Amino acid sequence: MSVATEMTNEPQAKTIQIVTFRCGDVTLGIDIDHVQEINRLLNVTRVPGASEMIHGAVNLRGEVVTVIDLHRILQLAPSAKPERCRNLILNVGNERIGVLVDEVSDILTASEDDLSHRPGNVSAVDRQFIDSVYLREDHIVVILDSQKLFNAIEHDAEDEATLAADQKLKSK
Amino acid sequence: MLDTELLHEFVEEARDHLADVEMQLLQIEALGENIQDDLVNTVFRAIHSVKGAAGFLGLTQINEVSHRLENVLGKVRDHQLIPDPYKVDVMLKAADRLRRLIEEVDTSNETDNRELCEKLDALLSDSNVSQPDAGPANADEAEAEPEPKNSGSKTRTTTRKTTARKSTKKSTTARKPRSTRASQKKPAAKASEDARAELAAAAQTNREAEESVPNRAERTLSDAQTNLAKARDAGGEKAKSSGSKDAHARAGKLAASESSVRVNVRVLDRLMNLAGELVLSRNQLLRVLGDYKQDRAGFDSIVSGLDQVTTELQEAIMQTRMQPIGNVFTKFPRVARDLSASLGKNIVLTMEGAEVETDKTIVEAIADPLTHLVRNACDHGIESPPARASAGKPVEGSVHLKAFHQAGKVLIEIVDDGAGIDPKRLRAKAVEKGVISAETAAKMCDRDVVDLIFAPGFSTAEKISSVSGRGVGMDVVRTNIEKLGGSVEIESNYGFGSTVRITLPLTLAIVPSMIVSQSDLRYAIPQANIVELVQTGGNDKRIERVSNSEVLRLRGQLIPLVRLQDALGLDANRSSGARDQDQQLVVLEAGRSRFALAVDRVLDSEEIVVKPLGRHLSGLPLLAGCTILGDGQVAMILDAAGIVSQTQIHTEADSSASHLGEDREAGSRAELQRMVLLGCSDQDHFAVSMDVVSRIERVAVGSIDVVGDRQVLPYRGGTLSLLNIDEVVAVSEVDPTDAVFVIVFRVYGHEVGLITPHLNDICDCDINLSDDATGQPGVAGVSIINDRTTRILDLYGMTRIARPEWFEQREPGETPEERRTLKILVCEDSPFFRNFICKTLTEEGHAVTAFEDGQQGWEHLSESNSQFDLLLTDVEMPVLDGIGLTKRVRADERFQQLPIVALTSLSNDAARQAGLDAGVSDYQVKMNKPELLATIDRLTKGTSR
Repeated sequence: MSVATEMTNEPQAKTIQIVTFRCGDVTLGIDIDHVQEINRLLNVTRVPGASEMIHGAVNLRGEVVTVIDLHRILQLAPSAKPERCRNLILNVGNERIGVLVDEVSDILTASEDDLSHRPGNVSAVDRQFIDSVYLREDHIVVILDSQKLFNAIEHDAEDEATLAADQKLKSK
Repeated sequence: MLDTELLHEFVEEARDHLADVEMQLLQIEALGENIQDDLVNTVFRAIHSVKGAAGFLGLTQINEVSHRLENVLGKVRDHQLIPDPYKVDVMLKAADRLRRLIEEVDTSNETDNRELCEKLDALLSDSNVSQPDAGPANADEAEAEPEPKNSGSKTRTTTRKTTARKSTKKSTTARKPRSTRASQKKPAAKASEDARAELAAAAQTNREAEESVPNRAERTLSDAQTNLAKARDAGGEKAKSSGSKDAHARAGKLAASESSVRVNVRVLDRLMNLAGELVLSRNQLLRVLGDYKQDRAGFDSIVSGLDQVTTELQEAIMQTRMQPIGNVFTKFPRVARDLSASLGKNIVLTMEGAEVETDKTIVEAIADPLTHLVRNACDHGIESPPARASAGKPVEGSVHLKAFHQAGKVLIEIVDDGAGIDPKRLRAKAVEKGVISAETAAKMCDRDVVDLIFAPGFSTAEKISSVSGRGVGMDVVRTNIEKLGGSVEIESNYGFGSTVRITLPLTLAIVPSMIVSQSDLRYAIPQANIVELVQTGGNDKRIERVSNSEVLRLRGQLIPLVRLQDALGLDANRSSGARDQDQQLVVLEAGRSRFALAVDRVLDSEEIVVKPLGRHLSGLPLLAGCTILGDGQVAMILDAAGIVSQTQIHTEADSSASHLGEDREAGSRAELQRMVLLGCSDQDHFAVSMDVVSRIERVAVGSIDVVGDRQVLPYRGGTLSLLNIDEVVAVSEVDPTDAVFVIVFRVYGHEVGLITPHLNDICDCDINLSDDATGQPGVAGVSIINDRTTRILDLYGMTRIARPEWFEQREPGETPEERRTLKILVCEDSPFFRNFICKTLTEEGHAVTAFEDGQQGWEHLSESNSQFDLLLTDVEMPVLDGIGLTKRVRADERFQQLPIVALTSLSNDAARQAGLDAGVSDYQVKMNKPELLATIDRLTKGTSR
């Protein structure tokens, strides 16, 4: 019954599940569809010459996965409690990257209608990565667009490459 | 529109079908009129399947071509068409075309294949006659004229068929009618008979002389097929029974059973990964359980069971990537056939070891280099039939391909019995092309010379034929093989043939590597790049600084040095000073560059599995990928070539001409003199040539005794005479210090110590700047070293001033003939040293003639006609160096006895030996005046004036 009424009351409303986590003092969320797994693979190997955004690479059951550091990308303070840190493995378009977060909170279900696509003044988080904002009782959850995260590090990597090439030319 | 999945499947399948067709057509050709039904059927069925599927998918052109080809094959099957080289040629071309169309299946419908189809049709209407004179022989000329049509006479075909059948049964009787036919054909042929027919005829007569054609063909064929079948079975690609040795039986079963499935390589790679992880988990489990083993007895068997299964699983998965090398070999009979035809040569290609397996990637990547080598063997190796005949070899040239396992590697040999490589011609060519200098060429042994064909920009073919010399040189072959982690070498016996030997790793997925650590991170370096590991220490392995960059001096060679932390941009707190004495280095080679990589520690060698880096991390120049180490940690694999380009190392360490490289290197540091830099104060800077210094000591001022007006140092039970710089040379002031340095050197058996308050540095400096401008006694010259005006001290001159009595004693005593005048020829390019030497010798009363280089010196010497008593030459000089000069002098009868003293600032044993070999009487270091003079005396003793 209740299902039926909900359906009729909100005909277009789709619900999505969001994995929420903390990074610095911000609560962030990512669509659960894009999250493959959450693990404690924190033993990240630095990759020399890689983009600033990239934290390194980690061994995910025999596959080497690039890991990014949200703190650096979003310019947040690093975590004080390393024991609660997690590695969020995102899977977008069959490509995987890991995201280091301070603490995974929980999974919340939200109707798409409740997501505000015009975020207000969320100064703490770089706007380009924000998909939407969800208002939860006492605080807001900033939902990240995983695709944009992927794109960002890619572009950054390219920029670095061209920059390096430029520098090389100049030094010659 | 088309179902892409289906299309993809079609392409895969058609590829498989066509893969064998070429080989089979060649077999059909070899059998000639002795048609083997099963074999033809197999080809027929393959083409038929392609045709059917193509028709279904609406691939009109593929359908068209395969249809025509099928028709021709049908006729062959029905014995209405006797395959001959021309017909098979057209069929091969059709098969080639099909293959090309299938590779570009999307655009296949837009291609125009009418001409080919017409040609195939022509074969049909022409089925009754064999055409020895039809069609151009050159296989590369794809579009042949439609051959003249002969009004078919069925009777003739039948006769032929009978003969053919007879010949199968009774090969001995078959010989006679055949040879008659062959001889009949010959006059019938046009005057401009093409090379192919002639060849075919020649081949036939030749073979018939030995044995019957069918027998022979059968034998080679069944050999080839056994190999192939073996290869396939081993590869597990397709089930083809090889139980019976009989080719007939096998041919019938070719398309039969299906005991294999097609698996995407990606799935296999994933399986590999997981197996690797399983191994890791197993290792961890074993470690943990090891501690509790004694508690539970049952554990043991479970653990060892798991251990075994894991190992086997990993091996089995590795096995899936293995493919027989025969997959590549199959294309060579065609290559050899087409080449024999177009080159007018008679080449028999034999193969062995087609079943030898190696990684799929390697099999695929080796195809091109191998094709090049086979082409080379056919084109350059095997001589033309007349040349072979006159050399007393069989007209038939042989190229033998052989693959085998050896010491965990796969070896492929390409052996031909052709002309081999003429080292003389190669030498001349190399010099002409500027690959090496004439002088180096003369020094090189034949083996090294032969190796030169791998040098870039080298092709010995006098004229570039269409076959080889298509811009791909042997250097590319070598580069490509080295990229696979393999190596290639050539052995040639001039007049009797050459052997090219390729060594390949079994697998690419596993790379033997050295693990090094830097700033607490581990990195893997593939062994293939590593030349050696070096720990600095001692004199022959040390780090030096040349201008702004560091170099490793390794056994007389200078190798650019790169610090890994710098290359990787790691900010390490540089602990200066002692670190150079205990530095671990990995000497790497990438392409033609060689450099030393300084790392924190060299850990261990490990066989690593290469994993790709994520897309975001690809394109990083320094890294060749990454791997997971035994403990599960990710480690980056360093790319030596990337480091070279990143750090802009320029070396000319051309590996094929490394001797040359050394020479050049020596040339560039010819004027570098190792100097001890010292000073009395901030204003006065001096330098002493390191070559004359025996040792340097640091002593407390208090331990110096004064005896009379002289300072001495009690030393090893005796005393050491000391000399102050200010005793001889004017200085502004001498800084008072508690401890001083004593530079010890020898003059005529006396040890003397030069006292200096400051020892600034020991370095290689270019002192080719100015000569003695000050005219001060005891000063050899003035130079700018490290931006300071530095006086170069002449220790000998100083001693002479400070201790004249030693010289007085010596002059009458030691050498009674001392006062005689010698005529000495000096060749020295550095003005500084030239003046210094001239002055020294002139002071001794000798007549000196000096030149800037060996060439001028030689010209003067040869004109003057043995006017000189002694030749004093620098080793490194422009135009003609000391070694070259020595050789020339020694080659001239007049100067056999002329003493030659080579001057050097290097203590390089190899160079020294080269000099002695050339005929140098003795070596002296430039600044060591007493020794030099003594040598001159010794060598000229008894020389009449």
